[in-house]
Amino acid sequence: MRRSLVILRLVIVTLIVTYLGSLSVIPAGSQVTAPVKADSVRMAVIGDMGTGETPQYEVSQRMMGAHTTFPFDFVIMLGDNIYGGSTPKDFNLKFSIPYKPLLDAGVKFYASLGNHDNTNESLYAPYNMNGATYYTFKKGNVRFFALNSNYMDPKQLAWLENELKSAGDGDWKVCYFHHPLYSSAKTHGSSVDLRHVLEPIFTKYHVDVVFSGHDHVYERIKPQNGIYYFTEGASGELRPGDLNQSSITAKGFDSDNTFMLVEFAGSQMNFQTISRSGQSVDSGVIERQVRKSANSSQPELPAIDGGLSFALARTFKIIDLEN
Amino acid sequence: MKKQATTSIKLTSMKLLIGLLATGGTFTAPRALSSTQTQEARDTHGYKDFHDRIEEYEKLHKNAEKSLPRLKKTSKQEVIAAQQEALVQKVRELRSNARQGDIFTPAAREEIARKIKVVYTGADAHRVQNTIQAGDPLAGFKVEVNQKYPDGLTSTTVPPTLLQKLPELPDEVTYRILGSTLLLVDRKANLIIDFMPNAIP
Repeated sequence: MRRSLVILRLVIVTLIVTYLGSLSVIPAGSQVTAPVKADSVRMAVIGDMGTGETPQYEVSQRMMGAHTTFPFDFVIMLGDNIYGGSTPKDFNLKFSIPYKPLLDAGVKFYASLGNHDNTNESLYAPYNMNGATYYTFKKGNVRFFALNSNYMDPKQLAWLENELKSAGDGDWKVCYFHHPLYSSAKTHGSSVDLRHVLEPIFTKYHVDVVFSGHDHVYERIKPQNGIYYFTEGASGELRPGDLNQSSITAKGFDSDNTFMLVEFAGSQMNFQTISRSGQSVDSGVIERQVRKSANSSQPELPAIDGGLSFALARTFKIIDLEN
Repeated sequence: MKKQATTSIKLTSMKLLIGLLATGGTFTAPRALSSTQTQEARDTHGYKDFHDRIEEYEKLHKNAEKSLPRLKKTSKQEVIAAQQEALVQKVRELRSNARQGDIFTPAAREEIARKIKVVYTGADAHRVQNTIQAGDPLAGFKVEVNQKYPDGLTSTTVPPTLLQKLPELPDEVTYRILGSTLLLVDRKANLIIDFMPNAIP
């Protein structure tokens, strides 16, 4: 019996070592379309990734492959970072092992919490949450706001409004959190009560882009009131066929796992969504329009509800390179 | 002199009359409270009671934390887990006799139920219901005071509209919803400190 256990342990260790060794062989990735400009802000986006299963590992390999030609400095995590418990073993299998090559390359991770996450993940140093469940940080000319959509209480709303106001209108404003305000997926769909409290703040203070997860698909939403929304909830988990593309869908993909690459260079945001198999499923460029503060005499941008062509003319210019 | 005294008496009488008019003649008979005022008095009592007990818990939590090594960020998940467990044990020790209803007293439950009913019968009702129903189903979990919220059990989103109506909590405590039960949970210890069954319609 004891001999069998020893052999079993040896097999497991050998498998892990073999896997880690295989990570040095970067799979041939799809061509990264972002320009990789000097002094740009480059990141990857993953959501609902923490399964510890093969698809998560394969996505992370694909990310490492992309990193060789698109050296992103950090990753934003859209929640459900760890499924099924928060023991040390869970953190190893579902975070520190699959992303080891990126962590070793100095890539930082900035997490937000999903409904499967333990609040004390905020104390886990590699998540860079500094003990807070919502926080803000800046990279170049991009201000990020990581929110806790599990518990959007008046205190967090007041903090967000104050931070967005203080940030002014000079930089990109990117918010990310777990529950999507707009989603065409069947299982969860749009978080309408969250939208009811957040969207007015986002529009008032000119948030540019919002990333969320929770629905295990990829979806780019047509700009809503001048704001671009992305759902990236398929970086480990996946619900094939769950996307019920609707009038608000600009692009959707639900047949394989995905992650995103994003580059901010001046007033442009390049993005590309890549599948686990290396297929480029979406890409484009968003041109940010500098807008005045809420108190300015300049008229507010009209509300946009599916009117993509009008949005393109007035707010953002996007070139869909996939079509 | 006589004229001044007369004027003074008149002024005093005027002031007295104005005072009587202002108080609505309460010197004559005590006035019964209206149903609205009775309700306000109950709300105030329920809220104050809840607020006081939450403050007591906040002090208890802070004392528990002070007696332990500070919870700091670390790369070692086992350290976080051990620190959390130590906090759990300390809080349980300080609240060994805690029972359901210690914080959700009858008066507090009545007030909170009323606030929830306002939300569920108002224009926001469908949004709030959708948010709670969208949560992952409860997997046969029996709620008890001083019990840890199970690791790995998903959290149902507490609707922001509901949070705007419920009594404010300190940073150490959070509301959670499990089925139709409203919980108070110690955020860092992940420990259930009280609960209110059938709070959510």
